[in-house]
Amino acid sequence: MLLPLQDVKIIEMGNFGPSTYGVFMLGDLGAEVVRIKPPPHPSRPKPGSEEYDEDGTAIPPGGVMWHRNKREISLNLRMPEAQQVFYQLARESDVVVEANRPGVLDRLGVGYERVSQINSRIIYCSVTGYGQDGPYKMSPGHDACWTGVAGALYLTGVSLGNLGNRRQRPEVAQRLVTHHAASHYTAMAILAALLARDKTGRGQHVDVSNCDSLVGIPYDPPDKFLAGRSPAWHLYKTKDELYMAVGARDERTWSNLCMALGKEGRAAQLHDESQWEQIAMELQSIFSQRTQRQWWQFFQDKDTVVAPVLSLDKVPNDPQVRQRQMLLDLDLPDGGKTQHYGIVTKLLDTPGQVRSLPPTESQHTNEILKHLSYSEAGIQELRTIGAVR
Amino acid sequence: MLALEGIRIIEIGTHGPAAFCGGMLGDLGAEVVRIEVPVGSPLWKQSAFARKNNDHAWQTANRNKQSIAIDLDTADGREVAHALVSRADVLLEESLPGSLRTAVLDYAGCRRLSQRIVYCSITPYGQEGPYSHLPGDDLTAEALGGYMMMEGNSLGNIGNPVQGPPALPTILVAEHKAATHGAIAIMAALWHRRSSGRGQQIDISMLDGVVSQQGVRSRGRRELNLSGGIRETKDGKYVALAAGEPWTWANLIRTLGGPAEYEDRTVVQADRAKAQEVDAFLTNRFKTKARDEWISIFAGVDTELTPVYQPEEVANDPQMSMRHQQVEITTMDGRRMLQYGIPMHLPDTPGAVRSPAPQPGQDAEAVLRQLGYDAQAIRRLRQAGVVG
Repeated sequence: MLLPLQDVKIIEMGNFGPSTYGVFMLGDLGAEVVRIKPPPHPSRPKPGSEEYDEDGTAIPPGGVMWHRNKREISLNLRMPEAQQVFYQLARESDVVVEANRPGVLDRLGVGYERVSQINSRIIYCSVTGYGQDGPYKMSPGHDACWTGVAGALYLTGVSLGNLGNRRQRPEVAQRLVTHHAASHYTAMAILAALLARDKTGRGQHVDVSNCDSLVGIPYDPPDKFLAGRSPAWHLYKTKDELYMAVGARDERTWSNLCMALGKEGRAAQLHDESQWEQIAMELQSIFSQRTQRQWWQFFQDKDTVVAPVLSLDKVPNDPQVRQRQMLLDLDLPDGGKTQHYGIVTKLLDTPGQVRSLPPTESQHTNEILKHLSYSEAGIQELRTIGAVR
Repeated sequence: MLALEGIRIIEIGTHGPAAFCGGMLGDLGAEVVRIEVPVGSPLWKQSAFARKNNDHAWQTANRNKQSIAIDLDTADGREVAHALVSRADVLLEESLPGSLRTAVLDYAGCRRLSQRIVYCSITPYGQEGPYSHLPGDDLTAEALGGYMMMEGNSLGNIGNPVQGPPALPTILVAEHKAATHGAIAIMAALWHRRSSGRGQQIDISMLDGVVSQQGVRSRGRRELNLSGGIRETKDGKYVALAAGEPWTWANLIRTLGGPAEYEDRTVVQADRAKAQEVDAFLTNRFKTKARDEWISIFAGVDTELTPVYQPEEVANDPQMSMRHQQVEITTMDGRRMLQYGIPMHLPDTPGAVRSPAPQPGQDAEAVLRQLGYDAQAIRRLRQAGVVG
């Protein structure tokens, strides 16, 4: 079956950050990805521990699946022999993705300048905290820092109370927003550079920063609707102590909601702030009369914006999520089963696929070196000197 | 040259994630024409609501675009729309499945006009499945996808998480993800079309996007994590802290003038009483100086400590201004507005903000001329109320 990006070859030199997730999305769509794994860092936690990747980066829950559809080779790029392997890979690739502080890979001889001399068509995408220039370019960071500088922490924190849940201080969102934004921009920037290459004939050094990615993230302005005071943008507790989310912010869906709940008199009061508190109380007493499941059933044909607030463990069994194949049950080589998230970017004629499971430790070192025309003896030599594992 | 120069995109009735998606592609150079629907139709009402409710989001999502208003209930109006689709590379829409069928602007209709069309629908729940007929938005996708409950569980202090009620979203993660997933899928389809010669249909759901990245979440408050989080300063502002590496942690303690025994974080974390002591030290120490004093003190120190800005402070940050992440533009109605820049830096083919968001229908004449309509025909369409 054809995959939309099957003729795109990517080298990934990342960790578990946004760069990895960006490449994962392209891999699902068919890109051939070789992941280069560095040797373990002496001062970081030991490999094999559950919490950390070998290079010491914390693995988020479910993170390992981001390496599906990738092949993996371990290269010690401090050694010239390993650099030669890298150059051969770079010669036949379209894209390099890396996530180191500026200058680190230049010192190893695999920075943009060097790689573009070897292959002028290479798209070299650097994904860093603050970008390739500016006063913070060498600063390390994490989600809290990037969101702080981008002005987004106040948005996640002062999350405008509703039903007693009022947060007055900035706070890191549980859904790591940096990760979401930067990984998506990574994939987008690479694709845009590939399309541009058709016209220019050349690759370029693409620069994506976690902090930049957040500056433009859309938010609802902390206006009256979102202060949680409007009954039209509100969470209501159900009989079984769960919640329904109501987001009926325009006249049509608000009116439909009021009609459905037998509150015809309130249908025209969407913008009447003097009535909001009273309306919210009235609706709350109605929502208290049925369970979350009953309400969700009830609203299926009411043409209004309502949904149950589900906890994460309920989501996999949701019928819509199932139908959309957003959770895939996959077979492990040892006969076991594993569950992966599905593919969001649904291209109906050339759908993405899970073609292979995440590689085991340096699983493809031999295969990749053979493809690059190394002999058995040559591969053994590279292993002996510690250039590959 | 712009990366997506020459790519023609048509948007129909967009006001949410599809408009944002078209905006990002426009920033990278695509030529985007918004087909606005007539005043009073349901799609128009949603657009008007979105415009009124969040002017800034509207302005930013729709910059670099042209706008033509077309009455799709008339044969002449449909003819104009079909002419636009025939020469377009991409169509973006976000109405409930089936609603564009009457105007023959559904995928089947557009495909008859052009085999090369990449037709991207971005909806709350997708084109199929039991919820596909339901209206929804960021709020409902985050509710069903488990995000809202997850955020609610993040209350309380570090080390003492509180099982709280769910929280309403402020940052529209589901919407943002759907828009960017759409852009990724569109560009992948355009890439594939180079060899296949054919476009295809793309089906993006906001809920899918939320579910797909449930795995991406903060360990946050489940454990006593000293190095992360937010600390209040003397002036009631905040700094963000993420000194996760052994050396960045040690640099943090040293710069704060803490005792040497605090410098090995693994030792501190292993002893709960000690960890609480260090936690209190951090809290108290940061309250002794104003936020910006701390930022000066930490300048050049290899640790992860940054100011927490209010959104309006971002433009003055030296890094963000050097990266052109806040640009000032003048809207069509003459207001000066700060908008975000372009987070994807492609130095050989950089994106650009070329024009502010259009007023509905402002480019009707130019768009029709490009389609080959002459002055007389344009006047006739205007008089009949077909375009505006």
